[in-house]
Amino acid sequence: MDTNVPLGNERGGRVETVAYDNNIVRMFAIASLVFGVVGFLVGIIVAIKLYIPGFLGGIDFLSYGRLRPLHTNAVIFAFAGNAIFLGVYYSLQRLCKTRMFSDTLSKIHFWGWQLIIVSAAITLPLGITTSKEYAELEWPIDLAITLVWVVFGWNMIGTILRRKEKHMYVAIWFYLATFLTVALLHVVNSLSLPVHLLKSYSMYAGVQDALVQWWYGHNAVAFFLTTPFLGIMYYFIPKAAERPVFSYRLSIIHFWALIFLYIWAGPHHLLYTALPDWAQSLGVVFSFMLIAPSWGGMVNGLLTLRGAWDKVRTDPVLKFMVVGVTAYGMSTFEGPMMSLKNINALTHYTDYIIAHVHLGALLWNGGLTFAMLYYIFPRIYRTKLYSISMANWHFWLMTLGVLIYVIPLYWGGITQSLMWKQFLPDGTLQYPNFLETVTQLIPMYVMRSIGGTLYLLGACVGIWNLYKTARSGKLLANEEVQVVNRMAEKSHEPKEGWHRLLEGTPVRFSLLIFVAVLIGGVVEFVPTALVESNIPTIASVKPYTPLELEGRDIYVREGCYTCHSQMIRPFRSETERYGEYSKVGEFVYDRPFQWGSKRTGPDLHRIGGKYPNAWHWKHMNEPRSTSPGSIMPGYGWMYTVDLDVSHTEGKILTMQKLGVPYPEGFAANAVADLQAQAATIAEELGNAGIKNVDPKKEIVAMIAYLQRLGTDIKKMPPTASGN
Amino acid sequence: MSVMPLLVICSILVAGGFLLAFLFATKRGQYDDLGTPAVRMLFDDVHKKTEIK
Amino acid sequence: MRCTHCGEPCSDRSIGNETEIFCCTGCKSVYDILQQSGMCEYYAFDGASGVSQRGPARDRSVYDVLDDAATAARFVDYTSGPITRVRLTLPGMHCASCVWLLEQLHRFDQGIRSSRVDLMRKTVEVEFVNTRTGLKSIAIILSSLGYEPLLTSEGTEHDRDVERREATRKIYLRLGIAGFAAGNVMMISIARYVAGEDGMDYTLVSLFSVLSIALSIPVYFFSASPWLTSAVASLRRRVVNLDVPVALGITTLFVRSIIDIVSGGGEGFLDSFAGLVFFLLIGRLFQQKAFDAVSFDRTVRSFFPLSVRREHKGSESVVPIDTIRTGDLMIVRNGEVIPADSVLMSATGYVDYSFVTGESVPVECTSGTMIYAGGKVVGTAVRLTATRPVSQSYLASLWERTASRTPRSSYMKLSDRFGLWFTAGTMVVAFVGAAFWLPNVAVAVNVFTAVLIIACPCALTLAAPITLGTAMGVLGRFGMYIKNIGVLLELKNANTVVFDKTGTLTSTYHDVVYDGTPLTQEEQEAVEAVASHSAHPVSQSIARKMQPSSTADVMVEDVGRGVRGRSNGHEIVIGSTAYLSEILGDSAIANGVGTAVAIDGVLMGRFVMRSHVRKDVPGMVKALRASSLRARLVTGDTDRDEIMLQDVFAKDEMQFRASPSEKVAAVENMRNNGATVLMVGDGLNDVSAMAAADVSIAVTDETSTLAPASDLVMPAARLADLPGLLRYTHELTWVISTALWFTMAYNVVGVSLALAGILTPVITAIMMPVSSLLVVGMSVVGARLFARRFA
Repeated sequence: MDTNVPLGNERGGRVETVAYDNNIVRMFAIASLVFGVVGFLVGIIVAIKLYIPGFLGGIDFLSYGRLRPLHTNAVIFAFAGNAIFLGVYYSLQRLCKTRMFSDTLSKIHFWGWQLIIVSAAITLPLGITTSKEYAELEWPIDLAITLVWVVFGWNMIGTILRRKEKHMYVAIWFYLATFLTVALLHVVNSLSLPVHLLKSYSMYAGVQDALVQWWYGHNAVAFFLTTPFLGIMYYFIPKAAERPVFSYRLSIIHFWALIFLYIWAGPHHLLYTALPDWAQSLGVVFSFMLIAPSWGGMVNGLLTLRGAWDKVRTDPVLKFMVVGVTAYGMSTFEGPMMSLKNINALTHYTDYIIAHVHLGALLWNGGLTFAMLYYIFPRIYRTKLYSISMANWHFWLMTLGVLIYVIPLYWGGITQSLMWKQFLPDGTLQYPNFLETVTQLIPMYVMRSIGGTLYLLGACVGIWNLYKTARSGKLLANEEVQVVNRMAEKSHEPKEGWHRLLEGTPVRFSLLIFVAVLIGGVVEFVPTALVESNIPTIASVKPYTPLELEGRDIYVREGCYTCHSQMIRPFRSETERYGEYSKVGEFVYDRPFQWGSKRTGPDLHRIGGKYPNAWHWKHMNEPRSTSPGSIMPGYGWMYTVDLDVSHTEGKILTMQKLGVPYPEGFAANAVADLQAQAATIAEELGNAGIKNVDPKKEIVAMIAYLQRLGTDIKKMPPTASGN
Repeated sequence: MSVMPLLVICSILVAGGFLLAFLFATKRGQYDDLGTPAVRMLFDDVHKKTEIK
Repeated sequence: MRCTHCGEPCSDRSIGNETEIFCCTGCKSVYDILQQSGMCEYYAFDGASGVSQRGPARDRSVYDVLDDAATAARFVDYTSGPITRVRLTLPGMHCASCVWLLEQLHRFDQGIRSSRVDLMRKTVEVEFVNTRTGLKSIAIILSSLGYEPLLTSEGTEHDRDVERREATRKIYLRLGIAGFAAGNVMMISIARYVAGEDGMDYTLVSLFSVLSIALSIPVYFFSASPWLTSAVASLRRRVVNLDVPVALGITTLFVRSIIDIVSGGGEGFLDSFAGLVFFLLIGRLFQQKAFDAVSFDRTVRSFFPLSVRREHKGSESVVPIDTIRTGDLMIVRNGEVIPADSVLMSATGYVDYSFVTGESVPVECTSGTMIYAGGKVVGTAVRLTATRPVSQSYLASLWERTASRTPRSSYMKLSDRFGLWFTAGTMVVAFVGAAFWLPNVAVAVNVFTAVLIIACPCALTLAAPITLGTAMGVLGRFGMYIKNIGVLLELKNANTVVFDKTGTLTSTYHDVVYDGTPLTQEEQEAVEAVASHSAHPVSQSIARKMQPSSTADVMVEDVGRGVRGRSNGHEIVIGSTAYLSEILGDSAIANGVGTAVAIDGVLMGRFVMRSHVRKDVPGMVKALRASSLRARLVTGDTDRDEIMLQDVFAKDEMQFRASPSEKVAAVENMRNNGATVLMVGDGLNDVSAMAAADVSIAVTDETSTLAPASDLVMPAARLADLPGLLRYTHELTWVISTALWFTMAYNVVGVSLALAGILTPVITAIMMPVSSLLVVGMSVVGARLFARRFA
């Protein structure tokens, strides 16, 4: 047989010298830290804005509605994102016993990702957003993300295929799952039709859009903030504790169970919404089942440290790990609980959710990230950690900060929710004025910003510590190690192939059917899904007028959805407060949907016609003039900036492409129609005593939109209501 | 809910992909030994410096 | 002071230097090797975790035989061109450090390309360039590192391992597909249940239907095939085992669901179907895992060495044992096993037959004695002439006779019994139910199928394997290895326990009793010191009484007869009476027995060896009686120990000097009188009796003991647990039957629903997994809970 196989080198054996790329690890580490600080800082700013609305003045690009998406994106995709890549690039090389597949791809991946982050940091404050939570970036950036993500996957899979160790350690599976699933989620959720370079309308409308968005939203948490960090946990805890994972078998089961369950849990974000009941219940069932694998993972991680608790007391890495994993356990218990309908009814739209996600983000993701950094820096810089005590300081600042952050918000969330639902004996709401329930929370908001600041402080200490560590050592950019190639050459392995994988006719036959059916399904259903997705179910619901459409786009631009929902749930407490509950048929022209996920302010779905135009005019400029004690910022710039109508026609055309039934050729005179409506509004305002209103200003469009909200349904005979 | 089929199919596709991955991995003996890998990953690699002559 | 290498306490710092000290030169040499290779980080992982190298240094020449291609082939996984991969079993491997070191083998031999460890199975795969190195040098490297490869003439059991690996993989594959399908079909079904009749638009309904069918097809044809095939097979054998109703249920479930869905008659039961198969497979996995834990299918070869020293025309050479022909001259050294029946050539020799007969005291043989294969040479090396080739030895033939017995499994019987009963019952109910609804054919068919579905005895098929499988696993952890899960049921039925004394009730470690002029402390020490220098079993036992504190010098050993030495200023002579009579020139001494000892030329007394009852035996037997079991003693030994045992057994319960055939007769006799006999023996000499008994346990000091006929192997130290074990089997059957009754009740409810024609998919979907889950839970928890006592 073939005698030309490598007989190993002079040292004998299949010993090969491999150089791990530590430089890319270092780059991602720095990026993660830098953007982490930015993200935390912006977080604190928006937190302060919640009790000092005027904080940082009335500058449009620093307004709450625009900074909040920046904060979430920075923390999730810049801080945690870079941390994931840092962890993957460090552990994958060592688990596969080989250098990353291609340095070029690594570089493209790194710089591409940072470019995306920077562009996000520019566009979001400018109000260029799709308003889909955690997917706010506009289509050109979405494309860039897709490309860079593919590069990442290519690089990772290439590395795995080149590995020199036969067994794929469980962490690698978690990384793979992350790549594949996030790719799919991102693509499906970002499908949209561009109007121009910086504006697009979602492929899906209303409830469809909401469903896709939360299918994405939930799984983004699952596969971006959970699976990669579980992989990281399974690599770094055993390494740091110098003992094997408690049960490797369990970790494998953990992985497969999680993968098969997670993908279905999405709908629990839409309980009591206009989403069909069965889809909601489905979400509940699967979310609940998730407790099992999640806790399996947590227990596995913690029990790995059994008999090593003395180490935990001394080693910062393990400290951060333990707190992180514990937080994971808490949030993965909270999650399913909150997906139970009656609990959800209480917590949804409140600050309870904010506390929940920050527990996860700050301790689970943050804690693991810093643990990882404390582990990696001394190793790639070939030195010791600069200061253990400083690390301990960081640890306590972090833990304390998070406690001071979450406890008040849990408290506040429940308090507010109960106040919303509080009825007087005579059957009227005890707190009919939403503001009363807000002012209650101010102290909690203050506490929360303090907690956040402590966390940031800790992070800074940590960064200083890592910086000094780096300075005290020298980066080993290419870590040259000797590994034994344990991958048997194909020629020596008994033939293994796909045909043998499916050995036995029944299997092959049935699996083929399975695949065939899937392909058939895709071909048959995807188009229908997209075309049929906007057939009005309520006759009186009509498309938005050009002015309202422009107003809506401003509503989106300013991120009003970050504080106001447009989804009245079928509870007496809500119908009493806001009016008729929301019907699925009312949203068929909403691209994107604006249901929101948080009620810092009241729901706006039935705001139309509730107040006169004049009220809105005053309120939008200086909220406290109409609603004393309001924490809503003023939107002065809407009064000075002219509405940009250059794209109105294009927008109408795009909507028509998406199936919105504007009459033929309507786009041509859209602007005229717009100006006409604007004029009437200006006139009404004039009558209301507000002189010299310029109908060309943005505020007019805004008012037009607000006044339209949720009014269509009133135009029909009540008998035919409902969906 | 005509977007539901899309989501269902996408989800099933991903899950199906993972299933195939699982079958393939099992076939290739990835899961024959579920003990040693956990130990093996603990060892740091031998650095070039400490090479044996 | 602890050894730097193995961490065992060291008597002194004689070996090593001020920083490192070693318990023995063996450990030091391993340490030196690691140090030269700069691999001392070996000690970094688990501290001083090396394998202790105490005891006589291995003679490297035993590996010569590995140069013989045919022999080496027994360890080869595959060879292709210049690359060869072998797999060796290293009993010494135990920790992370072992893994690390053994995967660095290429550092010791340029020919080694890579090595891969399986810590669980204690094997190492070595891939090497067969033009540069060979199995022999690899074995030498391993043993020099302190990992003595297990080189039995059976080789590394590739076929069996591969077989098992494939079996386990198959189950994983089936589980994967079933689990995947179950999960997704369940998702779809839940959606449809909560959606109700028209809560979902048509496109989605049809998509879901197509998907669930597509997902279920692989489950039926692949995941469920074990039951389908088994059912068909058993029907071919004109037997109705438990798999028949299961297969029936599964098939009905599957077919009817598809018909329902395609005909638009309903959403079908596919979720229940997939879930059911998933649970059934979990049951299978338990069985497989438990089975993997023990290897009963060993062959007699696994007890023979790979090679033996043959003297041919005055030159010694190590040859594979199969090459031994009648008349060949063999040299067997201390601790080696005699591979073939042969005649002793040396003047005297000591052979330890405990391996074969369980007889604890080594037998002294004189020139010309017939010696049987399987004996272990003690003390000095002996020269033997083979009288038969290895394959025809008494041992081998005995083995063939016993091991070839097909193992009785009452589990099978149980399954078959239940199967018929169950199927018949179900069928009757189904037909009656259907008939009741006629002429309304639609409902009748519906009812008929519904009954078959709900009556599917999945719980039945789960309870027994999972409970017993779990139990098997747990017992394995305490060193009690069971041949198959049926054995546990057999044990339960036993009402008479028959013991074979030798080695079973008595310890193989024998005491040496001194009788004669009392010795002073320092005289005694002197004697032990001298004795410790002789390999003779008696001397060893004398020395074993206390770690010699004083040292002896001027040693003269007349091998096999006696030893002389000077210690504490005394002249000590220990040996056979004949030997002493020569030394002291006093012929009177010669006609005594035992081993005599003389100090400074004066005969002091004799050492008499006596085995004694294991201390926990009396209590154990009492406990057995307490749980109304009869205890008997049937042994081939002389009644010299009757006194010792009389406070354990009544006179009429003991039978001595029983030949193997008499033992069998005794057992048969008891069985004819309606007793269900549990034979507790310890060696091959009990084999026929064990075979005759309903169930048998082999009690051993080292697990490698020959026990072909036994259904269960238990370490001697655990003998006290025997009553507990028997009680445990009762508890296990209790657990199983509870589970069964539970599911019976469950099925009654289900069946009545079915008969009423109101068994909707939703109800099934809830009932099936819930019952399965409960059964699995009950079985596992129950089996573990009751096993606490062994901890």
